[in-house]
Amino acid sequence: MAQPPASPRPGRDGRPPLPPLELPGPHLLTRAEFLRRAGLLGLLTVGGVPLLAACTSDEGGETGASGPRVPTDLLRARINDDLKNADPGDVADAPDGIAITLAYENLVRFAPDSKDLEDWLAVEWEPSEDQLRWHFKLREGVLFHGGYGEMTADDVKYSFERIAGLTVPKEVHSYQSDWGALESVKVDGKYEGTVVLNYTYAPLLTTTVPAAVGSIVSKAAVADLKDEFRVHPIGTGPYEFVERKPGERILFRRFEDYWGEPPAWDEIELVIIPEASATEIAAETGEIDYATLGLRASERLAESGDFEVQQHTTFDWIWIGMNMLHPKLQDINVRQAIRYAIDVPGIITAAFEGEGERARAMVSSQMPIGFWEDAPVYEQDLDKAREFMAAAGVEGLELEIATGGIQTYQIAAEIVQANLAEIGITVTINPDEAAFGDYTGRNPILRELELFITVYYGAPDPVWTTQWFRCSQFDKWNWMYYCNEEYDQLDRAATEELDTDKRNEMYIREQELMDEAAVAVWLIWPTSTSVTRTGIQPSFDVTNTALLWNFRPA
Amino acid sequence: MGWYVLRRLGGGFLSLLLVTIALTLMIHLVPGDPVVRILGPRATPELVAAVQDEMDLDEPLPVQVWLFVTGALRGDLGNDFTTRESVMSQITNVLPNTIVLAVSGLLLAVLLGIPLGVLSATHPGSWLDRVTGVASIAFTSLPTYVVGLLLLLLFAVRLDWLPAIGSGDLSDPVDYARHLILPVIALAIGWVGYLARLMRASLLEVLNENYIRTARSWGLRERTVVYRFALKNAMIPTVAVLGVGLGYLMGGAIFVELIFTRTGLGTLAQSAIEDRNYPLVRGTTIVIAFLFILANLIADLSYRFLDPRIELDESGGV
Repeated sequence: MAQPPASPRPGRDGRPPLPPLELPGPHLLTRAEFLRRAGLLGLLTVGGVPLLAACTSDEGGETGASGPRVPTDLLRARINDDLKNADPGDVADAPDGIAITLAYENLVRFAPDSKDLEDWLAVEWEPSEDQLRWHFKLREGVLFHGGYGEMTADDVKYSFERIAGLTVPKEVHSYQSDWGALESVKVDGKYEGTVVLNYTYAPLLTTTVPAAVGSIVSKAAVADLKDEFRVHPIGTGPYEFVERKPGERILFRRFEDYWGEPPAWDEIELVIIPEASATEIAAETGEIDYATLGLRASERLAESGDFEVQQHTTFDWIWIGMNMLHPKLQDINVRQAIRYAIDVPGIITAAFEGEGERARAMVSSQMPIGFWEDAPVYEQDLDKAREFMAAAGVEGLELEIATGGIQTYQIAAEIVQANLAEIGITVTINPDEAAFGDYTGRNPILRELELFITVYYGAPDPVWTTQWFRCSQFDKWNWMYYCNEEYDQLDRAATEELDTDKRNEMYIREQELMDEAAVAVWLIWPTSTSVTRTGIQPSFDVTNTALLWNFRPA
Repeated sequence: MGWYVLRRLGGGFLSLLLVTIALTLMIHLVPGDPVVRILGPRATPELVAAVQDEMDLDEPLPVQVWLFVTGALRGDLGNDFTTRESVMSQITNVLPNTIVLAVSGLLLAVLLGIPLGVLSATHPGSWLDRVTGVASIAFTSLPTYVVGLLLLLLFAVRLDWLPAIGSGDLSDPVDYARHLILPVIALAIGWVGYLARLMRASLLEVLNENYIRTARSWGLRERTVVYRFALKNAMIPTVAVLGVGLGYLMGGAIFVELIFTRTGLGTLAQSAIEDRNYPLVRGTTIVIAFLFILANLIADLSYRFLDPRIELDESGGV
C-alpha cells in the first residue's frame, strides 16, 4: 500500500501568514466560485465518471456471468505471463507453448485429445528400413501467415536445421539437443525431402517432430523479423498473430487462407493475468473463457454452473530424493527405513490438496510407454521402518531436507519431519532457494544434499524422465547420486531402440533397479487443472496444453 | 536559491548513481552462475556465452559498472534477453499507465481529502466532523489490497459495472476510464483519509491565528475569512506533502497494478523478477528509483517556493 509519510513536511508552527490573496478582476472567477466549481468537478470525477462509464458500458450484457456464452467472435484464454519467446527452438514458458499451437504446425502431430500420431503437413512420412532416413511429402498449397508464401521443403529443412545448429551462419537455440541426432534434411523437390539422422532416435516421433521443435517456420519470415520473430510467430496454423499489447494481451485472428477446416472462433485473445485470484475474478466477471487454475478455485467457479473443470495427470513427478553419496544415507537400511516411515497419502492430502495421482515410480501413468503398472506401493509401516533402523545400527540420526523455498514442499517437509521423528530421525528443514545450486548443478553444493523434495518436468517420452539419473548426470541433475551400470546401459539403448514393446520393458526394468536401491519416495504425478466456460468444448494435446484452435461451441 | 537547487539536483543524481551501482553488483550476489540460473537447464554453453556477452558479464566488475552507468545516462538500459526488446522501450510503453494511475490517485485524494478536511475544520465537534474523522482514519488504515479486492468484488463481480482486469485502450477514453476507476479509488483512498486529517489540523490551527481573529473582528463573513484568508496558509503543509505523496503513490500504483492486472511498471517488474530477467529487473528498479527521487526533489523545491523563510537558510536545507 502507498503509506502516507509519517509526518508532513517541516512544521508550520509560528509561520507568518502569507500576504493576502489579490482578488482577480471582475471578468475572472472569484476564489470562492473557483472552489465551488472545483468541488463540483471533483464530485463529477469521483461520482459521475464511474456512473457515466457504467451507464455507457456495452460489455455487461455480453460478458456477464448470466449463463452459457457461445458467440464465436472472440475466445479469451488466460495466460499467466507475457510471450517471452515463441520461437520453436527456444520456447520459454507455457504461454509461448500456447501461442505456438495457434500459429504453427508440424509434419506429423498427435491428434487433438489423443495419443495417436497422424500425418499433418506431410501427406507422406515414411522411414527407411534402418529408420535413419525419413522421407516426407508435403501437402501442397499450404500458406504461411503474413504473405510469406507457400510452405516448401526448403522451409522444412530450415526449420529443423536451424534448431540443430546446422545452418550457415549457425544459429544458437535452447532446444538444440532435441535435434541432436539430425545429420541434415535433404530437399528432393519443392514438396519432398528426407530427414537424415546420424543414429536412430526413438523420441523423434514423440518429443521432436510432433513437438514445438518440429514446428515448420517460414525461412523468409525469420530472416525478415529477426529478433521480433520471438514474439511475432509466423507459421501455417489456423490462427495468425495480430498484435501483442505487452503485459496485457496477445491477439490472434483466424487465418483466412488456412488450408484445413476453419476453426470456430474469429479471434482468440490470450489475456495475461499473473495472479490466480485475479484470474478467478476475471472468470466470474466474464472476462475470460478458459484458464488454468488450482483445483479449489476451479471447483468454486464450477459451482456457479458457468464453468466446467478439466483435469489431466501430467508427465511430471514430485518426489523425495535421498543422496546416496552422503555418508548418512549410504546404508540402504536407512533409506528403506525412511521409505517405510513417510506417509505419502498424508502428504498428498495436506501439501498438494489431493491434486494429482499418487506416484509409484518415476514414469507417469499417462506416459504412452514405460509406465510400471505393477510398481510396489510403500504404505507407511513404522514397525518395519524401525526394524530397518535397527538393522542399520544408527541412532540419533539427524538429517536435513531441502525444499528449494517452495511453499508446498515446505508443508510436505513438515510432515516428513513428523514421520521420521517417529523412528528416531531428527529432520531440519532447509527452505533456502539456493539449496539446489544454480539449477544445472555443476557446483559441489549438490553433493551436500541429504534429503530433498523437488519436481522434474516430463514430456511424452520416458527418455525425458529417466536420463537424468545416469551416472554421467552427477553434479548436474542426478541429485540422488544414483549410479547403476545396467540402468545406464538400458537407458542409452532405449533412446535408440525403435521397438515400442522393447522400450517399454527397458524403462520398466530401469525403474525396478532404482526401486531396489531405495533412493526415492515417489509422491505425486501432479494434475493440470483448468476451467472452460460452459457451452465451450475444450481440447488438449498430449502434453495437456490447451489447443485453443480446436475449442468448439458445445 | 540557484545553489540550493543545484545541491538538491546533485543529491538526487548521487542517489540514483548509487542505486545504479548497487543494481549492477546485485546479480553477483546470487549463488551460482547468474546466466545459467537465468537460462535454465537446457541452455547450451554457446547460448550461455552469448548472453554473458550481451549482458557484459564477461567483463571485469568495474567495467560492468561503468558500462551500465554510462549506458543508463544515455537512456540505454540494455535488452530483455528473452524477447531481445529494448528495456527502455518496454518501460516507456507501460510507464504512462503507471503515471496516469498515480497522478489520478493524487488528484482524487486532493479532490476528496481537502474538501473533507475543510468541512471538518469549519464544523469542529459536529456530527459531520466526527463522521469525517472516523472515515478518514478508516480510509488511512485500510490496506490497498483489501480495498482493491472489495472494490473488485462489489463493482466488478457483484454489480458487473466495471471491468476487473486490464488497463483498457488509451485510444478509447471511455474504456480507459472504466478500467481506471477502481484502481484509482483503491490507490487514493488511504490518501483521502490522510489529507483530510492533515487539512483539518492545519486549518484549525490557522483559524486560531491572530490575523484571522482580526479579520473576524472587522466583521468579514466567515466564508470570506475561511476561504480567502485561512485556506491558503492552511494549504501549505498539504501541498508540500503532495510532492512526496506522488512518490509514495507511484510505489502504491505498482501494487494496485498487480491486483487489477494492469500493465505498468509494477506488473513489468513482477514478471521480470519471476523470470529472473535481470536486465528488466534492473531497468524497472532504476526507473522506479528515479521517479521516487524526482518526486521528492519536486516536493523539496515546491516546499521552498511555498515557504519563503527557507530563503534565509541556504546552508541548512529544509
